[in-house]
Amino acid sequence: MKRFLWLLTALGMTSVLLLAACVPVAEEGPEKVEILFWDQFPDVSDQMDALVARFNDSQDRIEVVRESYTTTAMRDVIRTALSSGTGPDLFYYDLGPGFAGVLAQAGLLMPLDEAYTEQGWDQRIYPWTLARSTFDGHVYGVANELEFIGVFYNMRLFEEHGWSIPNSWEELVAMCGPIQEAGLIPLAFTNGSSWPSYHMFSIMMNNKVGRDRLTRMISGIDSWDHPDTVDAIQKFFVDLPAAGCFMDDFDAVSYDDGLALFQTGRAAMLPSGTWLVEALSNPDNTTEPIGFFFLPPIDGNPVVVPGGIGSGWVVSSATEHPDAVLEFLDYLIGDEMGTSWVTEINAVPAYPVDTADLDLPALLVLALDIIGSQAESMGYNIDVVVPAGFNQVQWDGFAAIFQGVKTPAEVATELQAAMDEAIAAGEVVNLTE
Amino acid sequence: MAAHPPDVLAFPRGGPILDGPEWIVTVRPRNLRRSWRRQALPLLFVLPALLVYALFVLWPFVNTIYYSLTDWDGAQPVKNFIGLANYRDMFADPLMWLSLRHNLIWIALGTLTPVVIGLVLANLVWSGVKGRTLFRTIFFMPVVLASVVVGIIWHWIYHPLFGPVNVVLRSVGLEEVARGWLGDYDWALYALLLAGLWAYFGFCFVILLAALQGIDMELHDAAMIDGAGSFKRFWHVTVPQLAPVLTMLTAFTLIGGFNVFDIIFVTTRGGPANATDVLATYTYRQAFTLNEAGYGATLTMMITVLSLIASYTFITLRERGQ
Repeated sequence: MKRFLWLLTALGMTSVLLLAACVPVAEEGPEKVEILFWDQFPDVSDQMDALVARFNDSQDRIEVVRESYTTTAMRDVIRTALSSGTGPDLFYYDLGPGFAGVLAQAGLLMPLDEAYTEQGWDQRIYPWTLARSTFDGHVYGVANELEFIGVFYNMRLFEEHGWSIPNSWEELVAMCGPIQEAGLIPLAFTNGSSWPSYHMFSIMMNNKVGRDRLTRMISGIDSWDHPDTVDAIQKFFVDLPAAGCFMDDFDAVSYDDGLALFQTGRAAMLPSGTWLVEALSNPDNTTEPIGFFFLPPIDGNPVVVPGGIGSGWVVSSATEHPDAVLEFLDYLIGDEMGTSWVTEINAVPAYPVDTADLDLPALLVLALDIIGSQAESMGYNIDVVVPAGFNQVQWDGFAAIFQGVKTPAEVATELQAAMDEAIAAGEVVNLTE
Repeated sequence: MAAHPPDVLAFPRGGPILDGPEWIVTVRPRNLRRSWRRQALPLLFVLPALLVYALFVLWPFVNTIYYSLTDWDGAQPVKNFIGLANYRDMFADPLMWLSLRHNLIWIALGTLTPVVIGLVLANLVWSGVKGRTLFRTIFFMPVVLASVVVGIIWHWIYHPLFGPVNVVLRSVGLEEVARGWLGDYDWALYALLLAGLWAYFGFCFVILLAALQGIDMELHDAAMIDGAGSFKRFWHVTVPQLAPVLTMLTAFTLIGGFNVFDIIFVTTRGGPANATDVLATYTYRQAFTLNEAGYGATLTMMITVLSLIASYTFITLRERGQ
């Protein structure tokens, strides 16, 4: 009986297989090309998924598979992934010499010189962005998002207490006392994550030495080991904490916690960048009315907006489908997508977008206006355009100043030493050319 | 001389190969085949594991030695041979010495403490405390947590604004003691060390509790009859019987002290201002952040050599003591 059952089962399965083989197969078109796409938008993942889905639905030749990483995770894995041939075809990455520059030098990125002109990106994207993604005379990246740094402030608190936007550095320092007396944190600057200090250094240096000199310093022509650098460091990293402008233990509190303190009205100001526009405009996250101003002038020098490319699109040199990748990339930075970047991701694209008929948060409108009017004259977000070794000195050095372990002068000397080392290693991009 | 020639050639241990007639033996082919089978079969069983070991341990190790002699940036296909330059730079690198100092602090405090705590707790539970399973579960629980989770838990515990440590300190009037523990240059390393101990002592406890099950109770009874008190019985009867396990645990913890990485990486990444940098975090930063993979490999060699020396020395001393 048992044997009979086995026989019956085997017969049944054979019949099913035979029947399946006889079913006519629908005629297939050319096989879809699959490209792997890594981005750094985990915070707006649903919106990014929708953008990718729209592309996938718009045609039947290319299937984009999206994976999202945090900035740190991307930096940790990208080199290994590309070197081992398992990396993405297209990815979103920092365009600085210490990041995309290293990959480009290793031959892991595809030069985009031809595509840049053929696709007309040179006509669409702000031309000044090109220098920041060019290494050894070749274009390796396409700028996507522009960012700049300043100070967000709680408009309700300012109005209630009669505070006004400071017009000079001295006014800013003088505000800290009254704000503290009101039981609030003057500046929700926190350095538990260490990288926020990069941005503060950028603000200070832009205002202190101006765009042209900073360009020469970043390009390795002028020295960082200079009294102006020391003064810029001293003012923010020594004088402000001494004046009680920061909260207690600010160097042990994470960036997100500092942001939360500002969002909940416990801090009056937050020095940070336009990547926060989405979080600060969304009423689900922030119920307080938020305004924005640039850090006031230092020593009467003009304010220079520290900004630049957040990150950009880069293509793996190992991609087996360069045409498909370029087609998707063209979609991502196309005119139609410009509106999506603004309205859905709340990002500022690296090309002009007509926002006249769009209903946008006030902060975003302000950011777009500033980019539109000052894009050509913007200063630098320094950490994006300097080599990794220079950033490491910032990372350790500013924390050491907060801890009283190093002086501003020592850190200025170390910054120049890191720059000298990077020049010798050919890692510095000359932005004066 | 053997009455019958042996099946296989045999040489005097440690001596020269002699060429006298007594060493010329004939080997019967059938016996040779049998003998070959006898030796080859175990080798065949070991071979897969050996291949995996060679592929995932030996090959990377040999590669690491090679990389440490190059200026490889971790991305370029070209690796320039630079001899011992990385080693020379390493010995002149103050941050390497600072990291090593932190490792030694971690080893000094982090090796002995969990073993001692584990031993005391295991002995207490073994001595017949009620709720043995409960204690075993509670003490072992941190061990099963991933290091990332441990890091996150302690990050919250030490949180300067609302972490329980500072909340308790403030509530008992010790506001001056409350601080941003993980952001404090002088305290961050010790704060992390405490978290590391919390995560590890349960492992020592469970191993020692298991070892205590094998203790010869007759010796205990004899010592008791001879008038030995509980501490003397513990010190002179129990501890010596646990010696092999204690050696294993200490060696294991010692090596762990040189390799400590994840809990620091998750919480402080070596900061603030290198205050919690250990060799492994410093190596990671060199290799993956600063694009100095060759130098990173050199630091890895340093960790390996130090671990080997420490373990070998400890085990040798321990064996001599026995």
